[in-house]
Amino acid sequence: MPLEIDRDKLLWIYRTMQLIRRFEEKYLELLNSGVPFGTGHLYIGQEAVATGVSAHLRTSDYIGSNHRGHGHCLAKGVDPIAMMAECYGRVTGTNRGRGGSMHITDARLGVLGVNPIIGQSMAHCVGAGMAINLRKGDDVAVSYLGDSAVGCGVFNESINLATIMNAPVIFVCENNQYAVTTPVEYAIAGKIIDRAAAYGIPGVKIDGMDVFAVYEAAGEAVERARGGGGPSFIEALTYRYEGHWIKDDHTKYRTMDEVDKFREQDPIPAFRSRVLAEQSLTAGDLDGIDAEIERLMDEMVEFAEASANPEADELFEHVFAEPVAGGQS
Amino acid sequence: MSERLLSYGEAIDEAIRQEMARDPSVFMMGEDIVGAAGRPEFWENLGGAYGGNRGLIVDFGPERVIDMPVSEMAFSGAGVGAAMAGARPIVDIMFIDLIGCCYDQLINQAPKIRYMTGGGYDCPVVFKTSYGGRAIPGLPKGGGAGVHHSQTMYSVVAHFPGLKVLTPSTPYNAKGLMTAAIRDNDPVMFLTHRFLGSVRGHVPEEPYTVPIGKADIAREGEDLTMVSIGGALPLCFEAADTLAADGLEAEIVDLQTINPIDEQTVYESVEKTHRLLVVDEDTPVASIGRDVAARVAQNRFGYLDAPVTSLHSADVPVPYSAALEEHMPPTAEKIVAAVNEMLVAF
Amino acid sequence: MADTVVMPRLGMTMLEATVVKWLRDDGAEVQAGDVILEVETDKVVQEIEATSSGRLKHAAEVGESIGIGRPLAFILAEGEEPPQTGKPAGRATQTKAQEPRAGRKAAARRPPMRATPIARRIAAEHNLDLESIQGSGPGGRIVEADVKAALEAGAAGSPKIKESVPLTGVRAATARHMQESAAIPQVTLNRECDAAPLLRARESLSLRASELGVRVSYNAMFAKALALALAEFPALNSSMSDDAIDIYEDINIGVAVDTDRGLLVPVLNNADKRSLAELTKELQTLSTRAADATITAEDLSGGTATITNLGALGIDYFNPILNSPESVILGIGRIRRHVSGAATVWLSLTFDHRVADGADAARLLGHVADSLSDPARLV
Repeated sequence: MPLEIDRDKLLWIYRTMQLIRRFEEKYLELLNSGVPFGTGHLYIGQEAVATGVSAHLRTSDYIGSNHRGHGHCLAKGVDPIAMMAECYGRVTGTNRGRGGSMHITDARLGVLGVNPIIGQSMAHCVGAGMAINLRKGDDVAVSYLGDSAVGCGVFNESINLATIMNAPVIFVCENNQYAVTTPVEYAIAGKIIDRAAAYGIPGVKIDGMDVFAVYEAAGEAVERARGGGGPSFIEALTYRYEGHWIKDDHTKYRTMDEVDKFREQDPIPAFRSRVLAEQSLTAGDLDGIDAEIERLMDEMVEFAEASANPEADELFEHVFAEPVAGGQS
Repeated sequence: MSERLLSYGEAIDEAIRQEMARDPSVFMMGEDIVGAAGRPEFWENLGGAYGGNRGLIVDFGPERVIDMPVSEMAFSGAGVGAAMAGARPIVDIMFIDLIGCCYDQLINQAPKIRYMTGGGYDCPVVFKTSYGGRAIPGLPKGGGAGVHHSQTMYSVVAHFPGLKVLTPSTPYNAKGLMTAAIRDNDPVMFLTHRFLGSVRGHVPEEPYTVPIGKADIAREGEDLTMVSIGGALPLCFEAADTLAADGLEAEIVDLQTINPIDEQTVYESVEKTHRLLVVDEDTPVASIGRDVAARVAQNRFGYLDAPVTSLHSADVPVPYSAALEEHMPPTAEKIVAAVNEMLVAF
Repeated sequence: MADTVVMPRLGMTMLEATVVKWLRDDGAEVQAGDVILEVETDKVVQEIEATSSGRLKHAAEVGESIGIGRPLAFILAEGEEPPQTGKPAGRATQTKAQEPRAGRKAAARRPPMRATPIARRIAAEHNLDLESIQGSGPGGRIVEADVKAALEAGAAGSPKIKESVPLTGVRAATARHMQESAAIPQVTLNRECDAAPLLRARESLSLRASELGVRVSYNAMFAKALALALAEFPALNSSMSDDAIDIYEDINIGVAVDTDRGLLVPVLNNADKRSLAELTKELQTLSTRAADATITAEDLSGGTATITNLGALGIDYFNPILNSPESVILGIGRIRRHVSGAATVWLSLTFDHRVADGADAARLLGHVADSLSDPARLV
């Protein structure tokens, strides 16, 4: 089946997946070389999901993310340089050093935020959807959640509310099969995808390691939401190659055979061989992107290293929009 | 200026209506704020658990006056998300007792948005809720609403930097503070006292604001500062009248905002009177009342002529029986007794 | 780095000095060695020089008291800002470091006093002793009303204060000095002496004024007399230290001088070994400099004993108080000419009784009297 995706989009997809992969690998490399990152949860292995979804999003659309959010942000267009500076806690970071890896936001891009309280950002996306409806817009909000959020109360409340509000929200459940060390089959009853039917909204379960499958499912859901068709649910089966967080030794709770099995389905080489086989892109195109990303990685680290930390007197800024009359001790 | 009288509830409703008319990004959501959602033929009959929003939907339509399912977590979170996406939601949480269901949004999400994004996002959401016992009309003295519909507990939301918490006490400041809350670019909790709903007072017709973070000198006096929080105000007035008959003039400072606290106004009053009693209907442990007392003890020690004192509800869950409940909260008599005790305490 | 000009130590007992005058403006370009300001200790006015070259930034104001080692000024390079730890910190540390320590100790010794904070505050502001007040509050606690009542009652009987002059400079030093002296167990011996030989000697010396270059002064004669007596009885040319009596090699006599700024005591070094003419000339120079405030720290330090003469002010005799840590001070009254033609003067010698006994001091005073009755010994 020849691809019905134009050349520019294909280049964008490859560039985005590769950028996410290299950003995360660089993060790990820096950590191992002694950079004192506060924390971080790597998206390596899941790149196809954020990329396939964001391929359909525009600047004015919203995303709500979870703790494993670097990929969601980069795919939505957040500047990797500012993001890395944020992870370093620099004043040049996306959040001026107040958020860090688990709170990356970008108001200009509708990135409502990486948010590590599981499931809570689902409600934010419903609210964004309601705000879109209030202004009679055709933007959408994408809510990224993991398999563990399916067990949260806010999961039910949010999808139920989005449905009765007919909010333009696409719930993308990235089932990477683990909540820290807890396997999904232990923690979640029944089949995740069956929940969609319970709310009476369209739901589809896809191979999250295949960017084309994600692209296709997300395309339908986004188009439906823009057209006033309300929320959709996508379950993307995927896998994180690394531990839950940057210092988690995942070999303590799963086998390397299992990890290797998913690594064999890695979305990036799969994409590469397919576009080359179908002659949609050339090796030169792809190698050029790789080289460009390597340059970007160097620039990114250099910028973060060289950036200043926030000044101590910024501590009291941005608690409120303006200083409050009474003042505080 | 007109001498128009409105009830506390009507004053708040008027503020909401005026702001919705002024700004199309303002909308309101909550459980049963319309009533009979989806059934317009009943709308004339209903409007909020206390009837305060009657007819609101007729004026502003179902897109802006939205009944919610029983999902406090989702719709308070939706309030945060909508605020970040450019709207100005008023989220009605029927009873403060219900905030356990959506506490994450009130403490981890809304107050932190601006700070953790380095000023990237505004979060102009108003959470409106009600507190206090003694509230159900038709019942004797005690409220009789039981442990889960009678609590005061505002101290547990006043702890968080980034969340403004208002405790209006009169129809006048209720309207002005609600208007200010809706126009504010930060998340605000607007706490109404269930007992004050029908209290009437002078309210100007035109829109106006009462500044957030500013206390009000509700009554001037030389001998004692009474810091009043929210629904304690009428009790403080009654007690002050009794004390005045004994020649003791109390100055009443109505905090109006319990986070951030206008400590300056409190200090100035204590510098004048040298005595402080805080009247706080919340239970005492880790409370705003004790916070105010501690600040004065710490920062104005040299001005004190008597122990700093705070008066609270008894440190128990709210009992159902009126025979028990009537003993729980502060009363004017208890305030007078606390003052007398303060003047003779070692 | 900004260079900091700090308050130097200008005398052994100095703790702080007051800025008298800025000679160079804030922001002026100065060279190392330029005189930039004058400070006044309890004893002297001292010029302070720039320690390097650059832009001058004042760190203290005229009238402000600055402790030793605290910044007076910064000298800044092009575009440089003065350090943040400037004068406010300096002032605060200086006073805070001194007072509360003693205060805490005192507080620990005091029995608990029942008084409210505002009562304590008002009492402290009016220098009112809470011990003297009866509390009307619970448990006898002193409350604001009690203090106010006490103040009102006190106000009826005590004089009304017209003006409160802050203690600074020489006055403050004198006050502190006298307080220190009061702690010394001291005894004063009075003796009326024959002054006729002294009068005659001075008249004859006056006739030789052109030869000597000066009209010899009585104070030079008294100073010399005391110096010679101390040479004979060196045990009193001494100071009491913690666990010893330090006897000095040199005999340096301080002469109390009344000036507009207060009492100053310039020192005549080695007074026992110098002529009356020399001593008189030096005393004149020192007195002039004390009066016009050009006297230096050196002129005022190193004394081992003091004379104080109130005769010119019509005083017959008085009870001088020791110039701590010295062991003796000689007070001199007016010289009285009697109708009979006789002349007498009262001498009052105060001594540190820890250092010597009454008989020792009496012998010392006897020696002084003997010298005055035979002034040839003084010349």
